[in-house]
Amino acid sequence: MTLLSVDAVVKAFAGVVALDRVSFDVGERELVGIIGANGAGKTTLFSVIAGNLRANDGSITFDGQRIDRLRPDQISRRGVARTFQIVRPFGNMTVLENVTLGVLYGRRRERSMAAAEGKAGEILDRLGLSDKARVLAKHLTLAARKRLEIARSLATEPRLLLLDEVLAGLTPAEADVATELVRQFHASENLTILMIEHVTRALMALSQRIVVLHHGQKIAEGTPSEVARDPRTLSVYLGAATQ
Amino acid sequence: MTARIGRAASAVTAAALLAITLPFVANSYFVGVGFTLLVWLALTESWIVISGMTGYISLGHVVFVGIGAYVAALTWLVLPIWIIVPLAGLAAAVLATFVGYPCLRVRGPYFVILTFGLSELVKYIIVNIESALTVSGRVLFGAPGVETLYLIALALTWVSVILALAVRESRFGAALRAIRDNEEAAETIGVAIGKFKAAAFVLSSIVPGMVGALLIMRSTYFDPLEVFNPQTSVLIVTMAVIGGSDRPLGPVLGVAFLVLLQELLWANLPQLYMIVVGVLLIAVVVWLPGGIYGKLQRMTTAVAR
Repeated sequence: MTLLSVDAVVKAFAGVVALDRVSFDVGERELVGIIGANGAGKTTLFSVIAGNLRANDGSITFDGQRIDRLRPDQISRRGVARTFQIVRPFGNMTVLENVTLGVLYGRRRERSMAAAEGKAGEILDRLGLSDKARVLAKHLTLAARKRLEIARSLATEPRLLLLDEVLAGLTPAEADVATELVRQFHASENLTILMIEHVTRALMALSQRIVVLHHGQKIAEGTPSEVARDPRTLSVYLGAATQ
Repeated sequence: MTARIGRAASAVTAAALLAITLPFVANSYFVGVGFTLLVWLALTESWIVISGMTGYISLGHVVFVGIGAYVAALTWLVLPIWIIVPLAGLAAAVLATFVGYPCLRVRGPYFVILTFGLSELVKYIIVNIESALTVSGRVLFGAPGVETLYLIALALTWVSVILALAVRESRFGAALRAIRDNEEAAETIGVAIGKFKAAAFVLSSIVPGMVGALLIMRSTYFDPLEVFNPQTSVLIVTMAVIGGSDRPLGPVLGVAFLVLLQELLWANLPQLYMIVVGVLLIAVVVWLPGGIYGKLQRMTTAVAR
């Protein structure tokens, strides 16, 4: 069953077309990767889906309902969560408070602070952040901040999770741990994941399907091995000379 | 978390109960100083609810004081005091409701300038209304004495401190602090930021409106240029920043410090007061970013270790 349907979405910034009639579907419980060079429009795509930016044209349907005219908080409440490529923790709040906010205002809309803190504590446990629960988010290392970014978005109990380069900037060992976390969450929760990644090794291993963006257009889509052999993908990654 | 507010609220309530005795034991000079102290505390604690929590620095909070004062001046001797004071608060809340949404769409320095400009705009609208009515200042006959006003101010201060404490520790306050730290992340995890900011703005306007009513009962004279004086807004910000605007109990220190300074300088060097305030504000921002309260807190944690 299709959970997310992106249909002919256009987003332009002052004449620069960041997304040019991009269309694809993501099925329930699928894990789909998005790749593309810098400036291909990947993060813009996430911002448009999550409501941080409004599309100029096209439609986005989530769970059978249009979400492309909703505010980010309304979209979050329906079950879409995103992480930010440039992490955006609530720096002056503790790690626990950051995650508690996700429980309080996400899909669960927990009313009780105590219950929310309990639930947030469980999420920190699963992500191995429990020992940092009382640390202010601004004092975390980059790897821990990325993990916090994931923890906070999971706290909203999403049905669709948009992961924006959660592995970038991590050491290979840290990236392996994070990859394993993503795999576990995808397997154990009723979770659909759409992820942007430059670390193609991880993405190839995790994704069931991959969408390739180039200059705002979708140029290829398929299983990891299909995409890896696709001449259009190769030309993007290895340069126009191979065409 | 609730235990934490419980303790702070009990302490605040105990202090307020103790403060009730002042008019019965002190002469009216000290009751007057107490009144001034309470008024500034009530204003600063109210300001904390929007500006301390969300980081949207309002430099126009005097507009609520002024509108409350105007409502009180218009209804003086028409309505009893116990209706005038809440009505002044209501008028401020209505004004905040109308201007909150548009103002809170802009961030940072733009919001600061917008609130400042708005309070000046309302001031001159009322100056013009008054001159069109050929009223030049309104005198309030039969205003209550400073002892009565002190007790009402004490009640308002208690309300404003408890409100700031309750908001700080609540689910609502958690969302406001998230807005302060990163607005885009806050709305992405489900916080309806527009509604929350507007609600905080309205909450922060009510007590200042009521304080406005008390202030003209104290001076027994309504002059729009005085009740809308932008210096009031500047002092609110300064007191909060000097004390430490991150915690509800921070402003107590800033208010006490500046009011006492004012009492000391007023007699000898009144023109020096705002200069000293300006220098202090700069000094605190540069050397004590968390205010006096933040500094004390860091020192006590350091000692505890």
